[in-house]
Amino acid sequence: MPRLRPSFIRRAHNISSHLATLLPACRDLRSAQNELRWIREHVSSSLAPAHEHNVTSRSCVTKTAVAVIKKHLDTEVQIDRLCRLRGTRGVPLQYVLGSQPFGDLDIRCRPGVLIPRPETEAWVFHLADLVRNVIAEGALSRPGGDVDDRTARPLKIVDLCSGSGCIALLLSSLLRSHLRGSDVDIRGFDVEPRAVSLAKENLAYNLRRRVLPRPRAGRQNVVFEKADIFSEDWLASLHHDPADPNAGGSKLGAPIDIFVSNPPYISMRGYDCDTGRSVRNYEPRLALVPHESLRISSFADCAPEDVFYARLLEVAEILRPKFVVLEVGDLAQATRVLEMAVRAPRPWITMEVWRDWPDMAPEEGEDQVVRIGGLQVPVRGSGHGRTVFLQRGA
Amino acid sequence: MFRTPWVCRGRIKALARPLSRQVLRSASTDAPSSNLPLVLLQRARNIATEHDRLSTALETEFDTKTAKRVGELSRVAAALKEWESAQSSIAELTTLLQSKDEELRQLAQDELSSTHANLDTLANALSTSLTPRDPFADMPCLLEIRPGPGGMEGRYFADAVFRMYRQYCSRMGLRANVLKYEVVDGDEAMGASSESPLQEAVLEVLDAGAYDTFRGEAGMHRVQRIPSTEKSGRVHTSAVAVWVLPSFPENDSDMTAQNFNDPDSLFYVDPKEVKVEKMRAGGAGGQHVNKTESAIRLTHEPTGISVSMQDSRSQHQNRDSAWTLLRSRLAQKKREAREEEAWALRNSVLSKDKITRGDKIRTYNYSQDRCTDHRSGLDVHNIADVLAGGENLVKVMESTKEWLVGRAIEALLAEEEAAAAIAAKEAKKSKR
Ligand SMILES: C[S@@+](CC[C@H](N)C(=O)[O-])C[C@H]1O[C@@H](n2cnc3c(N)ncnc32)[C@H](O)[C@@H]1O
Repeated sequence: MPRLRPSFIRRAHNISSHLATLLPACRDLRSAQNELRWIREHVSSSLAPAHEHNVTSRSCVTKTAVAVIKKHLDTEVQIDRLCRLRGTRGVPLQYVLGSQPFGDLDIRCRPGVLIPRPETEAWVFHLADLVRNVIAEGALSRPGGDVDDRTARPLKIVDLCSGSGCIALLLSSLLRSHLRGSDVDIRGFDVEPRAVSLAKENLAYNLRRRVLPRPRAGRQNVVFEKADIFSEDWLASLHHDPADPNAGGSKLGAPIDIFVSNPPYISMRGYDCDTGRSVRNYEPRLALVPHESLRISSFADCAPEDVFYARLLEVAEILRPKFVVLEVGDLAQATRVLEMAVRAPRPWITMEVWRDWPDMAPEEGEDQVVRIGGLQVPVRGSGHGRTVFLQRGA
Repeated sequence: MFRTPWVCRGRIKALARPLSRQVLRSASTDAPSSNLPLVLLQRARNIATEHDRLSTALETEFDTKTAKRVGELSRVAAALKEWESAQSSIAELTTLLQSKDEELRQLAQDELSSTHANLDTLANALSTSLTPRDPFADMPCLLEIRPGPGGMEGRYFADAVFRMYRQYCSRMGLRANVLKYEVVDGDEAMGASSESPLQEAVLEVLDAGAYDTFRGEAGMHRVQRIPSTEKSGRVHTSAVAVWVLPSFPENDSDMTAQNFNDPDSLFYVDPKEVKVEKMRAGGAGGQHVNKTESAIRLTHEPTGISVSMQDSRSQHQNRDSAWTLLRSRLAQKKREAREEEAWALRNSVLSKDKITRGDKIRTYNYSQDRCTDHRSGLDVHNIADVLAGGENLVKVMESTKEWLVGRAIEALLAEEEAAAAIAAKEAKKSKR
């Protein structure tokens, strides 16, 4: 990485010492300015209520003045502390502030759980649009639509490697307008207990913020559970008949409607060479790089960074979803995943690759098709190859 | 008393004059309807007749279109009714003046003066009801604030203007959002008044009717003061441009979506004509990096109008804000084109007064501690209060609005007179 020019740092310092502190993490002045503003907003909004408390109703002028001054000092101390965490120690801003906006949701972020990415947000929006259109055309006939139709079954969605819960929760939020209320049934699974509890917290938090549909009486329609998707017990639990009250565990009941996952997809080499420093230093490796032992155990014939896709496609055979969206690292990985998908026992009627910004026009030099065996698979949008999209007939 | 910047016809002077400044007239010196131009009265009567006819029709058969029309006309019909009833009480009272009873005469006299005073107000209300309502009057708005050409001083004052409106909003209980706030050199404030050198700010005022509240603020705001950076104590003159655009916040009501998708709407933007660009960070993206920024730029290709947004941590929010801003700017442009046509048709001296962005509309003079609105001619003191969005700013903004109404009435009159002249010509022709 290029070193920052001293004159540049001096300029930032002239403007504000906070900016100079932030600069090493932000690289340019403009984003340092933005981050400083966000840090300020965060501090002033989180300090405000606490201090109103301190000022009692009897408070005389001096007491109020003291509180105001104290608050000002507290604010400055806080800002300084956060700027140092961010700039000097290189902690991701999302961990410093404890959150990341994701669509209209606010997702809480904590070490141990991956920070939601804008590319993920983009494909979730694209998927929600697609599902809404399909529902409007009547192709997904049973769920949603008519509010009074009590027999309408909810749209079933499964999110594996759910992390902070961002994908599951945003889908729930985006689809609610078309499905009227809580006619979605979403299950999220993650092996990391901190992720599972954070996802639950995010559900509750965004319910309180009223950006998520209220669950129907007594029934939670988004559920996060701890599970290792490679474990045989978990796989076996998927076979249970949902009508069987003794089945316990995850009563998913195939066929489901939508199957999504953003699994760890970075190779060991990619982790060392292509990741950002604050990613390596602060985000969990478990969320980014598939563990070496996995390949040896079950999927010896695929690249180590691709093992999750091999497993995900197996799971898809059991859950029999209509739509599958799997996030990938680049176009080459997308191609390898598609090669696995064409070997599926039951064929997919549609296969696509979506780039980072699926709704944007492709730039010059961006291929709009990849060849898989004898097939031509369309590549949509602009940016890096980001997701593999599969669809099966009704 | 104050300067009226447009050519005034004597008989409508009273209408254009702000209500608050009207002097009560004595009953004996003024003929009852002297301050309501006959053409306007005629127009009001025609409308009231149509209103009554349609409402009768509605009683027998309901029809949504008719009902809507009745709704539009009722404003005029009601104002006319009030004015006429004041007129008839004047007539009644005048006969009472002949009474032999001394006490009754006195009573009639008192009553008459207050009714006369009231008549002015009613006449004004009637004229106002005849002016076309601004199509955007009920909408929320965007205030865009940018420094005029020239040095840093304009940038600092732009920040002062931005804060003035923000504080005004909070004083008036209006919900305001800062969509964009860009300073030139840093986040830090400089100078005694802690103003920042503003590059551009966009304030969204979400309340319905905000457009009507602020539309008179559009134009060049001039400042005369000694900048805090100025060592020699020389007074600088600089300017700040304020644009006021009607806005449709994306997720508001059903009407919104309808307007976006209706090609006839001013707010319609064909998405195919808009180029969307994202800030591309180099590198692999996705899980590899955890960027905090998500800048977006939209360019409307046919006009070249382009907006960029990166103020929010939320890419979703940046995208929505960018679309809102682009729609508003395009709507403003279309509207100006339409207005241009309408004004060209009128061929009137009034068109000179059309607010263009180049005209200076107001001056903030620090050394005289005075703020002058060049259209209404109103002068207020206490600059600090004006810039804090206080009582004095409220006064200035009100005077501007009254001026706008006066101007609309003038335009209406000019239109009526033109129509009358054409009709007279036609009549002459056919006689020959
Ligand atoms: C790239 S993160 C995705 C998180 C979230 N869905 C998102 O998009 O932000 C991958 C997640 O997979 C989880 N994970 C790793 N190995 C797993 C396994 N064997 N079974 C289930 N989840 C696993 C990690 O804990 C991590 O939360």
